[in-house]
Amino acid sequence: MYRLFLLVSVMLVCVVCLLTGASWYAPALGAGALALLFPVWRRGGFWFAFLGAAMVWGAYTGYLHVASEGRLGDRLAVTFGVATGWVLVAVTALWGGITAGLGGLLGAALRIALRGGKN
Amino acid sequence: MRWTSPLLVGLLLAGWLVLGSVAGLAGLPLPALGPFFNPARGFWQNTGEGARLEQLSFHLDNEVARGEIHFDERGVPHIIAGSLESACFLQGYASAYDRLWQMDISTRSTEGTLAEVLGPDMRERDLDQIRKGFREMARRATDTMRQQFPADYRALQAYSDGINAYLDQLAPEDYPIEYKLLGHTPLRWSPYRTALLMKGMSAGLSGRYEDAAATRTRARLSPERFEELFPERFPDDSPVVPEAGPQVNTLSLLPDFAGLTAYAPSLPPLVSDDPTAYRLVPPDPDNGSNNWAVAPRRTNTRAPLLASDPHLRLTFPSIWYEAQISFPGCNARGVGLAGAPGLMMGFNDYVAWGETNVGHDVTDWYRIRWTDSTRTAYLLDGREQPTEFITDTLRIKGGGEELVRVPYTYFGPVPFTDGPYAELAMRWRAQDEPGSDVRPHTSVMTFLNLMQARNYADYVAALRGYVDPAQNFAFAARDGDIAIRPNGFFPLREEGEGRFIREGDSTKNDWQGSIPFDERPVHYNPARGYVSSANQVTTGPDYPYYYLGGFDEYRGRYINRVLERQPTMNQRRMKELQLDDYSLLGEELAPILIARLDRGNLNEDGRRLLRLLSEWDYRYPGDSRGAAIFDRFYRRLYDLTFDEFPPEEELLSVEVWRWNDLLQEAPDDPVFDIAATTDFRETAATLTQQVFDELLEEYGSTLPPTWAEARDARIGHLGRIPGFGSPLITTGGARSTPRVVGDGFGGSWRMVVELGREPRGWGALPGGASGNPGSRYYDNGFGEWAEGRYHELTRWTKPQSPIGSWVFE
Repeated sequence: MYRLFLLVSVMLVCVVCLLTGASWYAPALGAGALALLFPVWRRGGFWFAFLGAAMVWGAYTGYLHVASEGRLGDRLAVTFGVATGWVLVAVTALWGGITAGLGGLLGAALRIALRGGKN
Repeated sequence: MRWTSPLLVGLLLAGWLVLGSVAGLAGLPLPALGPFFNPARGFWQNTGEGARLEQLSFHLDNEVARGEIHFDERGVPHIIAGSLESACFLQGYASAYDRLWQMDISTRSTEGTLAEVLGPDMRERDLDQIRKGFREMARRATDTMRQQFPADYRALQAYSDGINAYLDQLAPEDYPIEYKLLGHTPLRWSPYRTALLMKGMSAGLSGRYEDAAATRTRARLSPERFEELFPERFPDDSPVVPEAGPQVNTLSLLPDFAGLTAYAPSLPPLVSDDPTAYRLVPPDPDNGSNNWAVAPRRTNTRAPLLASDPHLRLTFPSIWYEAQISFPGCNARGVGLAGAPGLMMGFNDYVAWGETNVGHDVTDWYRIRWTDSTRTAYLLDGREQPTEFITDTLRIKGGGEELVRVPYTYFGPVPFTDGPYAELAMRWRAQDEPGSDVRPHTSVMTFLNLMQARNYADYVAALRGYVDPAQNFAFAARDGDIAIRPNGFFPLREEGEGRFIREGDSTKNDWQGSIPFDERPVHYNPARGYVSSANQVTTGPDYPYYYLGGFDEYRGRYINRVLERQPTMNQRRMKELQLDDYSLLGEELAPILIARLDRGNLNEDGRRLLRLLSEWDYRYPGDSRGAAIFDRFYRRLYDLTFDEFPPEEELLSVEVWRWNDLLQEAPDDPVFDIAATTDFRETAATLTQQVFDELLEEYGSTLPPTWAEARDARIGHLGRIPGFGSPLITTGGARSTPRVVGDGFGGSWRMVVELGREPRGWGALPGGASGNPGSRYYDNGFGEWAEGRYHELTRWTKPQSPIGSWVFE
């Protein structure tokens, strides 16, 4: 249940970050704080934060890619030597996921350390 | 131990954050990936259309920030303002919205500050610009304008204010994508930056000098042989102004620019020069254009017609920014340069205008006789003259900065210490900034005044202030007048002067003024009923003043032939002529090549190749194989003919028309003999056969490529970013045809105007209004342009279903 809370909370944080034009590492800070709050294991802290951020970043940039008919994404795909703009959507989602996931992992690890190794 | 895990994870996260914040990881040309992929601020924010599609209202603290900008369905801004200055402000604002990075990088290119944002690879390019004195020239242009041409300066200031007003509202996430990729930030604009742009344009118009190559070539050949291979005038030319031109009653060889020869920049204290080895990179000699106008009696609507298409380097975004600009007394539509106010080519309710490059050589080089190895002094008029130095700073991204000290002599800067122009002083037009005693206004105001012109007298008045390297200004008016005036700066020259490197030890060798305005060539309502130019020689042989330059002798003759043969013209035929892919070069050269071939010993493949060439109709459509064969054939044969003049020796190139004459009239000329084959004397016939055999071997039994495949022309991004350019251009056109299309080069704007009671115009732009590759308006004109279609150049007096509107109150 807490893992689900973490997932939803990270998604909300990521949406707020998008709306406010926050820096790229802001999801890591948000996920870290949330993982400190919710009692999840380290692995859960990483993967549910990862999933939350990847879903929001992926969905948002996927929408932008479709809405713009891939005009910029497909041009940049050529710039970076990849097959299609969808690869950039995937890379963006992955980048957001790793960033938030590492934040979630750190938060969970800190919480466990603070509780003397117990969850 | 319990803190080990968070510590390790913390280190991992820190490493990730550093990884995402550093640009150029592992030496790769990559931006900082974290900010770049951040959907809230990075490149994804460049995917939409943004403000163009919105209804916006602005309240800016600037009294000229008043008026409206409405965008039409093609994304083109229609500016409706209450005054010229407000129009300049709004044009600046719209240009910044659409072309911010382009304006930034193109003026950096002229200024020599590319290395500051792009890194050390640009250092030599920057040195070139600094040593030629572009910064100093732009500073002096700005100062002169501020002090002596206040109206011009106010227009430039309003334009700059418009750009800066946009910048003030621009959040980093909305920066053009090039800034995000390259990791730099926008520059604030000023009249100095527009001056840089104009100096860059001057450089593009005055690159037709070959002083060093001519000097070297003359030293290698006998005087007779030199004159034989390199005559200055094409005997069958079709000049821009065939008659003597103006009523030149007397040759008033009096300089009309009083201060012209007294070049005296304000200079810092003397310091010793660091002679960095640097050599000249010549500009593209193929920059050219077409324009013509037809008198009402030769049009089927009895309305004058004008066509204009400048041929320049093709880039995305386009060099031109299309707009309608209206304010009391002006309702004009056309294109201007992104970075300068006004419209350089266009039309209004009364007149239309367009320019081509005159192509005169207005850059001379003088050998300086230094008195010592440190170049602190030189000999001039028998006396020792101290060298003056101007110091500028060259900054390199991530690599500090260096001082560049350029020696200046009486004749100008000495830019190079290596190569054919080493230790020569550069004297060229753009160095001079004549004051208000010599010209009524600056070149910037020429175009702002043309936008407001109503008749021939206004056109002439606008041209009086244009003293930059000359252009052929074509003109047509609703009242029936047509004209072309090759206008700008024409130095007074004695016969042959300026062709070779000159001695820089005497002030007598300097230009002794310029050809007075009223004695420059004019073609005004000529009996033949049309005026035209396509970079050919300016005047007929009777024109009394000497000039020299690089001229195209094929496009102009063909256009004049078509205009001569057409009993009446209309706007459709004008467009057809702009899109004509017929090559006069092919017509004159291909039969000679074919006639020289030995047809008796050809195999099946040879007969097929010859058939393709023989059946070629001298046109360059994209699917023609004959055009591709001819183009490759003649270029290879040309190179083989002139093996005596290898490119690395930087000698003169024989004009193609002269080579054509030699092929036809002197097939045994020694120039056809290949120096490397001592036991055989080649002739035009054996060389032609040799090249044909080489082509046969190359193609074998496979079908030769089509012209579009062989030409391999695309439009690239201005910053050469892969993926930001166009696909292959599959339609016709070549460098020798009216429809000019080369690789990255071609007709950068096509415009046809019919000046009836309600003037109408049609245009085609290889690109779009926007500089954002994520916008649908980035390349929406490309297909239309490539396929030879036009859009109507509408002018609004009030908004007509705009896709977006901005009101400045």
